[in-house]
Amino acid sequence: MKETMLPLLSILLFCLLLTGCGSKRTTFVLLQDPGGTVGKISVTNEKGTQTLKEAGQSVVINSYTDAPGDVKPMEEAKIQSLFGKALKISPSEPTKFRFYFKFDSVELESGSIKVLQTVVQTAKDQNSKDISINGHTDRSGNEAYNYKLSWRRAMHIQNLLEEQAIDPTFILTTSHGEGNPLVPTADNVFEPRNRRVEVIIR
Amino acid sequence: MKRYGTFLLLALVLFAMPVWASSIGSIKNVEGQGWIERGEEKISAETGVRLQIDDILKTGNNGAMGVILHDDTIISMGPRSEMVVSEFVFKPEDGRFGLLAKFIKGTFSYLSGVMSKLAPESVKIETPVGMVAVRGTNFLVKVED
Repeated sequence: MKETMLPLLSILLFCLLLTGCGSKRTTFVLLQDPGGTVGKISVTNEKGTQTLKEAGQSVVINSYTDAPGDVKPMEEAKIQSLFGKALKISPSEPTKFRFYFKFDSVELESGSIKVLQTVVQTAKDQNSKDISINGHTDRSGNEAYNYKLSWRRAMHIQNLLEEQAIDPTFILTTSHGEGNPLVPTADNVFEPRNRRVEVIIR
Repeated sequence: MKRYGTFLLLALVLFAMPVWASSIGSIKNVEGQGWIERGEEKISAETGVRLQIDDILKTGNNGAMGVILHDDTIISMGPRSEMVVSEFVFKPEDGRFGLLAKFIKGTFSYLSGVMSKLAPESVKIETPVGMVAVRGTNFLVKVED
């Protein structure tokens, strides 16, 4: 009895591990971007590819061994009934700010001083617990020096935020040196727009 | 002088490394039951919890959760959902990019971040029935049990 049951049981277990319990039928729906444009997605498996290019288009794939089905429009009511909870909890896009600095300095350009209060207010309004501070320089001076300079700029902003009672455990500060310019230039070029610290409030 | 500079650079990189290496984004919104499985650990989902590569994100019967990755990719999950981000490289300063998210089951909303704009071919979403290639956009996925 035991000997005949064992192979059957192993096969059953193996199938469960391999496929899970159901078919894994999957539905894909393309939406409009928040900015109003529409991108596209392509869904591909061993049996074929299907591309969605218009907002509200959908495609269903029944299993990994089935080709993607036909592209069909999905009504807003159906979208809400299938995806309402995921859509409702979706976070807003992060808010970004830039501080500009004087040449070879951690001193803020006069126009950037007032940005600080807006940053602090936004962080509090959004109850943000994830704030990135990324320091940058232009390409005048050598790379290693600039890495250090952009670190000092970023830390300066971090200190200012901490003085305004922003919890430092929410902040992640990085230095990009001259490697990630806003305006690409040749080496050893002065470019005030690249002497910056970017703050991202999520 | 140059050697001194290189040493400094290395020191700074090493100093900053642990934070860079560990965090790929964070949880922004949670409702109902949501948690992260990280190896043997089970971490309750709360706003501000930082995410790591290979974290398994799960929601319960009435749960929902929304996360923001460091390139501003936004992913949210409805009830009874499960996903893993198994690759995340966002180094615009070296031109290195990579994102692989696995939607295992449940409902998902996906909104592209900076990576999709700078290097769309480096972004991939895996589902049990096939791969999604993303061209700068916003889409929904429902994986049935």
